[in-house]
Amino acid sequence: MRNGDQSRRAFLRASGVSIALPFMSSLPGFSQTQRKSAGSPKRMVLISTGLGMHPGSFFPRQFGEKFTPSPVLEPLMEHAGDFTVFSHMDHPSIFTKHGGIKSLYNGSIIRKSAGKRIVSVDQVAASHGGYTTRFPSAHISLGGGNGGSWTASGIKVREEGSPHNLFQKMFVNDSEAAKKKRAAEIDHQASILDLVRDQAKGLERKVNHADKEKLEEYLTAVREAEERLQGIKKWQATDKSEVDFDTSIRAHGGMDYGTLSPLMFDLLFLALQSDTTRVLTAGYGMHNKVIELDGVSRGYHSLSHHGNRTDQISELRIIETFYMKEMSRFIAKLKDAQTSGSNLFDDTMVFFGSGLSDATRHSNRNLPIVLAGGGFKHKGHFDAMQKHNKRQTPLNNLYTTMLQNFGVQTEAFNDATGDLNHILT
Amino acid sequence: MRFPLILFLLASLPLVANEDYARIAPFLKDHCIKCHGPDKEKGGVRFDIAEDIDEALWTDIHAQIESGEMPPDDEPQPAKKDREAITKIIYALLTDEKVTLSTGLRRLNKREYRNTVRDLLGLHNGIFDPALYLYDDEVDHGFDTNAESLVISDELLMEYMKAAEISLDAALFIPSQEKPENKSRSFDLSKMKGGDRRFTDFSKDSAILRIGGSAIIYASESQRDVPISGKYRIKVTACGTDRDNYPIRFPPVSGPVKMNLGITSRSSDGIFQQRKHLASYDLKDEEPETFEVEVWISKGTFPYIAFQNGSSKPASLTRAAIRRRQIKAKEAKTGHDYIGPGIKVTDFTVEGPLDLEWPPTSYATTFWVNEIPDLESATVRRNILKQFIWRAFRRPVEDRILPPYLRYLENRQKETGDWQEAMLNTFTAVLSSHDFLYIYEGKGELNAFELVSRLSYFLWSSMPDIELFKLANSEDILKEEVYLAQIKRMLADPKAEAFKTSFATQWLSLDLLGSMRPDIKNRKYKAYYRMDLEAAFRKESQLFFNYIANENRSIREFLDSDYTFVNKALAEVYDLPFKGGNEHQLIKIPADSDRGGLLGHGSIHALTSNGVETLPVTRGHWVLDELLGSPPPPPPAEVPAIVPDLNGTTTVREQLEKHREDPSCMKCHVAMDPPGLALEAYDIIGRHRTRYPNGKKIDTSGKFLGVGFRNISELKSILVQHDEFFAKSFITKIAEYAKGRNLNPRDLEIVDQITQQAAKKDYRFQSILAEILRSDLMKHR
Repeated sequence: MRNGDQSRRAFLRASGVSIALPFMSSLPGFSQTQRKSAGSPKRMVLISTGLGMHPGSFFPRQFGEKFTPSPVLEPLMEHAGDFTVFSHMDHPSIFTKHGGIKSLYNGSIIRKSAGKRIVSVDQVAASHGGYTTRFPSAHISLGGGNGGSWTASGIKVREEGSPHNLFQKMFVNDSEAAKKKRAAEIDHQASILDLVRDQAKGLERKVNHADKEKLEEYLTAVREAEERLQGIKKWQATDKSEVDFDTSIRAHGGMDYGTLSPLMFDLLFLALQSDTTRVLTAGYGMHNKVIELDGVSRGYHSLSHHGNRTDQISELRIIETFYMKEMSRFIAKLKDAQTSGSNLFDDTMVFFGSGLSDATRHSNRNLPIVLAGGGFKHKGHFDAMQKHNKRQTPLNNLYTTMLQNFGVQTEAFNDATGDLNHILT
Repeated sequence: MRFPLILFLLASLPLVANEDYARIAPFLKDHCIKCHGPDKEKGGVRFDIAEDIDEALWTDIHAQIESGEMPPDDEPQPAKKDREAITKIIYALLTDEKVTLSTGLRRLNKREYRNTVRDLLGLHNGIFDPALYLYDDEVDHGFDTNAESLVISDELLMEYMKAAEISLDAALFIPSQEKPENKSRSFDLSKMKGGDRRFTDFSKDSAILRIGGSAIIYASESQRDVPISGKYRIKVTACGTDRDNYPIRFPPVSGPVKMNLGITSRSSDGIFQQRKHLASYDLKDEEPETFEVEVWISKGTFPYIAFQNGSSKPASLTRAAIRRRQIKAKEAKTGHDYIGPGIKVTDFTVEGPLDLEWPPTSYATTFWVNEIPDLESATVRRNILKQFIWRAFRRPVEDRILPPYLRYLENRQKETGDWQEAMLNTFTAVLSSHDFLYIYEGKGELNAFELVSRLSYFLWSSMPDIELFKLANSEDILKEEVYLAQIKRMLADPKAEAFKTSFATQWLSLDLLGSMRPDIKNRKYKAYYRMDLEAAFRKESQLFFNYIANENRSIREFLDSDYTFVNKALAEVYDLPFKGGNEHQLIKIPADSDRGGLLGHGSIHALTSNGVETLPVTRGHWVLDELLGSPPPPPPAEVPAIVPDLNGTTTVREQLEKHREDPSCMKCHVAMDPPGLALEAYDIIGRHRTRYPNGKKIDTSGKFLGVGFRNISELKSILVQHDEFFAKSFITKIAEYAKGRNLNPRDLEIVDQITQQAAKKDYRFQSILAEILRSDLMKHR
């Protein structure tokens, strides 16, 4: 951050026209042949907004591959055929209104979570890929946290609050001294884990059923921490990827989405292109501040309570169209990035959604969902109303398909009732 | 990486054994599963899968079958004897410790971790926060002491290791075996850091800061660090400068330039930092004066200077002035030659450490010594380690515990060549073990050590002190008179603030104030920001709670009172006479005002609004849940939520009346809506209103618990008439906070007894607390 000049010395171009570095060159411990035989790895990018999308502006009126775009979807239309808009999809057990934001990626409520169906889709993917890349996953949100990502044990995954922080984390190397200190610390922490595990095992025989579950939770954390330390250690010696990112661009506040959002998506792109991570979440938060886009004059939350007033809906539409514009630009960049097989877009599932649909009603039904890329057969505007039971398709069914596409062997993610393979593959 | 997905794919074991479920299943099948089964799953629950029924759900099933609430009236009813038989079976299961006892292993929550580490390591001074880096505890419902909710993960465990290391570093750091001398160090002003390069000017003789807002300046990294944590005297010589050297007038337009002095820290990654404001000073223009403040500076933290009333965006102001043609672009000096008003510092000195204890308090507390120990001696090392583990685990050290830590200590010495470093490493391991991170309680009656921990974490949110440990060791704490004397002592200790603050904060969700703010651009709610109502609301409710607790008032006053705590801003919002200023004061509420009790608090009104609209249903629900202890169940899934009509032809009352026509809504809404609609008399920031924005009149009348009322004052008298409901709910909540789990039917029987006892004493706060503390609720797991 501080040394913009240095980081501008570039190998990779953010514009994405060409890549000077061979793909995944930074991957230690993998020979060229191994990489080839593994096939082309998939990526998952989950974008969300905290306040839904106004259904009247978002959902197109016709279903099928050819549909007249809704006002908000207009910017995505340059990628027509490469994405699917879903109608009538929801998390059937979620009725938590604003709380639906927290359930977007898992479809569950954290109640006495203790490891039951609380993990979010991104974390399942992250666990699957692990430290194949430097970061199993990375998370960012603008305008305040969305908090849709949960670890298997029910702890909220942290999000970076600004592109600059994310840049620092993903692409700025620690000093040599700091690295050395960290290496010693990793060894020390690994030895601590050995010790405390043995101590905890000593207790195992003594405790009853309910306590055993808690103790098991601790022992699991110890085991996973050991694996995590090994993963981090593996990457210690390798420098972070050098990318072309202009650190001198500054937003004049947290609501300056016009500046912040392109920076955010540039970083998501660079993260994928440099194979720094394969799982990303990016959110536009829920708040009541004025988003600094031309034509927006009122707090976001106030606008979302539009009560069908046209002046409010038209301002809301500016914000929501902006989200789609940003997503569209991101998709274009992915398409321009050539990989050995085709382009990065075909390997990347770009998901957009919200845990609310119409915020004015606080409805958690008919969530606004778009899926692009990932090598799927896209279906234009798809009606996900299930014929056999007249219910909306659980969003976890879509996640199941996405996880399978990512390479995770799963029949049903959380309480999914099936998958959408018959539609998308 | 093999992150064990297995963990959550393996369904957890059912609470009740299969043969027990089989005894209940026929009844469930006949009367319940039609709606609560695979087909409908009403209310999001189903009873056909034993594994899916947890303790809370069993408790609910029991209560609803027993009371006749379920099956609903329009369904076939079970025979009376079947109903009785089945409730008996479920009750027997629910009161069987073998079946329902929830976990006795409770992880320290973030607050408890922070306080425990501070107490254990003697780290009370300065701004150091041991829990700074830890994940927040995610508690869906209830309190942050709930053992089930307090989960752990690999990431959190790694943060614990890191937090322990940083804390021990802070506690055990000494620059040498000798006590450091008191020295005076002046910072090189030309090498100052911070601010914004365009609006700072650093030279040998002075450092000038011309930007306000969050900008701060401080000494460079090589100079600012103190040799050791301790008390220091900060001296700043400064004046206001360049007040009239700019073509337009910049803030402060009138009055003196104000300088803030504070302490901050910067972690190595530059992301986390804390700030603590120390003092503000009025500066004279171009006439330097010296200001001094004595303060604890922890190693790694350092003093900063800020321009309190300076412009936070001088460049934007300049541009705006050009646009308005107040100045010409040519004369507008932006960038480095900007010469708007600023703070000119001509000397910045830190002197100390002053009156340093030797060894330092944290060192002495951590090692539990009076002088620097000789770590070369194996006996000394063994004693120090044993002593530390004993205090950290909050119980005597069993034989099997110590040897592995001693071996670890020796290994670390071989690794680092330094006994102190090895000791620090070993202590880090101690603080990462489950023995430290979890409070452990065995079955049945608590033993002496478990009991003092229970007391201490309940009342202090921290580990027991030495006096409690001694009484546990001698088992004297199990004697009634000793126990009562200790409770008295603990409640009188300043540490008992932890209970009042965290219980009130969580009970009333005061920490959530501000998560749904009004639109900052909406003129109607300007007061919210201008007068900092958020903080004022929070403080009112907290002071109100503390007053009832400290003055041993009746908890009935939560329902209605003739007093509250306001400052100038709140008095304005509440329209109450008040002569004071920004500080909250106790005031008597005029007889014709309805501000008494929690229902008059702006905090409650704001929390039951969403920053845009008031939420009458949420408000009604809040009254039923918090003031009556009988929360209605969540709405059935099939019913769409009400869409507020902002175009303004119907009122919310009319909408709700329509909504109630649906029989599935009727049952709960008939109870919830009247109090909720009465509370429409308060807007989203707690101001009185008689009309909606569209001009329609607000009707506050209704019927509650079978009694008609015209307004909020009358609603409150109905609540007061039924204060035993509130008392029971309040006692239940305190007990859940203390026990770290939801109460089961066995516990609730004790709550009933306590409620009856407390009624005889007018539901006075302290007698309620005393009854809880003396009961089996406290003394049993």
